[in-house]
Amino acid sequence: MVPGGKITRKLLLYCIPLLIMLGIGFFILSKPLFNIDLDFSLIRREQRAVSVALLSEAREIFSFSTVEFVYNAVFPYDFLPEEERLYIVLDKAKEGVDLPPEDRLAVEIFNFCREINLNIYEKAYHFVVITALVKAGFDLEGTVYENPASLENPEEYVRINRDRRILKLKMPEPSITSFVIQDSTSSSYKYPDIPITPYNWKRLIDLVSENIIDRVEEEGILEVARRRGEKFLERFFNDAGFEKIIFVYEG
Amino acid sequence: MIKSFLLDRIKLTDKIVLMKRLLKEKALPLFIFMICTIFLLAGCERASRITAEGLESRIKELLELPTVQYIYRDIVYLSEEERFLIFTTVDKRLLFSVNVVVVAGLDLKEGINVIPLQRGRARVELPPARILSVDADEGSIEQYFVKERGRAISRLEYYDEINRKKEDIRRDAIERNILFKAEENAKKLVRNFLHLAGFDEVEFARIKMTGEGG
Repeated sequence: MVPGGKITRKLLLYCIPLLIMLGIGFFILSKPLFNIDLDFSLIRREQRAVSVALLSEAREIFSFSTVEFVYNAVFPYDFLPEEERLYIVLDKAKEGVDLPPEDRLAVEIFNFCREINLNIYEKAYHFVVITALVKAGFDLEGTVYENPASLENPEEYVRINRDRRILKLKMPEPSITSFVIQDSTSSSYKYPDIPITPYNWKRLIDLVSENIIDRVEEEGILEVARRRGEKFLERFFNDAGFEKIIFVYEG
Repeated sequence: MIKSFLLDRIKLTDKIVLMKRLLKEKALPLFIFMICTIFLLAGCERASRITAEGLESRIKELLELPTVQYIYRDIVYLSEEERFLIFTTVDKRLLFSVNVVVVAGLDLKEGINVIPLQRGRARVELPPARILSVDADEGSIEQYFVKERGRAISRLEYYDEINRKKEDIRRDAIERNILFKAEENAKKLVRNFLHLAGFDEVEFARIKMTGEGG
């Protein structure tokens, strides 16, 4: 062996690991120190989110909301019977038995979940907490209060006695003035997310909206809205100088 | 005596060797089988029923006079691509539109005063108009296309994008005078009520003190 060869081998023995270490160091520090993105990563991820919103319509609305009900529902479990009963209901539906509305809704929801691959009572146990904000009050659109000239005889709606002490107001029946599903975000919604496309989310909301409104109405939202509305208008017209306000309702 | 002792020893050694071999050959599959059984049993446990019973449903008193609605059409595009070396593992694309509804009007809980003046005149003090809500209308969703390869699209992914846009929409609505229009319509409604109640002239002013209205 030539001594020169030994030196070269020794040099290589030290230099190769040194070069490797320098390479690793440069790779790690290239981004923070020199802002060079070498991107040697095995996994690469690209995300893009774009949205453009343009005004498409401006509308006048005339309503008076006096109460809001915040309703939380767990989809689909709040709209389905107990698991054991659900299978009985599904069997009945298969046999063509005429089902009551809540069972028909359960069958519809079960089929919908199966169609969009939402696992219920199995595997992932998918669920979503829907928060509905339901407002109730008086819809004044198209009434004499929106446009007094719309009726030939507005006195039919508002009557004042001779000494201007008693006022008789004809009001529309209280109704749901607004129904909104609260928009969730990843910072506000703490439950597990569900895999669902926007189109299927729309279908899901369509399926349950009517049922939620029915439940809220059963809780007596319209009666509370009527009481609150009367109380407000009574104080309003008392301040205007009337002693007594009588309410009558359309229909 | 010594012979029988030695024979016993040999048998014992054979048994130990046999046991060791058995353990070597069978222990790993046995261990895997036990782990799988534990996982399967854990997976078979029935999850408890989730209902809204534990969630609070509450009633809130309002006194809102919503008078203007601006409807914005929001067109949302989302994409996500994940690659492992040259292989695409996730490819998601979604294009849809949704209406975002901005409602403005008066919050009468801030206060309202009616002061009857002489000769069929009245003065009404109203709070300023406010944006009462900015919300996506699910019923207006139109989905143009969806591609889900590798992973499904989840609800919060697109709701995050809709919510991100809301502040711009609110600002745009204010720039387009939504508050002015809301106030004018509210005045019109209050004026109509008072006209019908016999007041010929109604003048308006901004309420000075905030507090419980009605």
